[in-house]
Amino acid sequence: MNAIRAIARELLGLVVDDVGFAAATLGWIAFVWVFATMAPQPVPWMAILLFCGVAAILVESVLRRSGAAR
Amino acid sequence: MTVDWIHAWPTALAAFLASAVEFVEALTVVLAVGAIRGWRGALTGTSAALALLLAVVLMFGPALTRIPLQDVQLVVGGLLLLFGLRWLRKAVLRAAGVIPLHDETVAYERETGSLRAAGPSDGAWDAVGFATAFKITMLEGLEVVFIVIAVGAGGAGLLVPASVGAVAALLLVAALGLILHRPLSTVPENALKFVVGVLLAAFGTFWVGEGISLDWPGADWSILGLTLGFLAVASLAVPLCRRRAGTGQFLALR
Repeated sequence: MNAIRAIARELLGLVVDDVGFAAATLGWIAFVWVFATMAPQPVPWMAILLFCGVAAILVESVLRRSGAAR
Repeated sequence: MTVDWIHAWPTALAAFLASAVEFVEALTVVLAVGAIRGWRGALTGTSAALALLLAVVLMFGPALTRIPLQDVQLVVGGLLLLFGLRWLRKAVLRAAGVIPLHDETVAYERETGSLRAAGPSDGAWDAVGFATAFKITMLEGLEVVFIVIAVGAGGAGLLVPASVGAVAALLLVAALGLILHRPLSTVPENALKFVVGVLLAAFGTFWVGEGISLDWPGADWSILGLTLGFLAVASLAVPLCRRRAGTGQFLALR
């Protein structure tokens, strides 16, 4: 049981370092997905919106971490 | 099997660079095991882990082709995006001097110290050496398997260039390890992680977009745009983080 837990922790650790950062990224994907399904037809700016949101989450996270290190 | 060459080269490059970083980290520990506990345990542990990893790839790789591509793109793209952003975040923080750089020489010394402290083996078979080499190869190798599957699962035939990239990285790092017999501490690890983080985040964002049926401007060429976009954002974030953390002009992309 401990071995399974250790493997699960390792696998989770591959994608999650900061829980808030990972949750915000997944939340943004979900938001864009819902937004895209409501649109009558695919529009290119939604893809740009996906990138901008992810980039903003990255910048916010590194700046927050840098502020905490001060 | 047809290979989509627009995706094939970036896929092979991303898999090569990301795998190289993982193999360099594994090599440090395997070298430490070989130097302190003997090469028999180091090489059998490494070989056993590589054989198990190969079995995992052969078991799960073909199964992915039976799942609808759009579902794979969404799930794998999401995981790849999280993985790439995690690397990029860490690389930005390291480049800004907020968190310390990973130093292979320090890692090697730490590992040799703990291997010496474990005491001599009882018989001809060194369980400590075998287990240490097996564990590090499995851990780093699992990341490589994840990278290969993630960057290769987004399109038809992309598992081939992704696997070629990873195998090339394995051969290169193993050859350097054989020739040099010391950790590859001169490899600019953080710069590599920075570039790999940018590439994986770009691929991940693209696959997620495809998975949720977004219309990318420029179609497949938007991967290049995403790569440049993430590169610009991450590069701009480094001085901002440095200023915010008060780490001055310390430049640490290495």
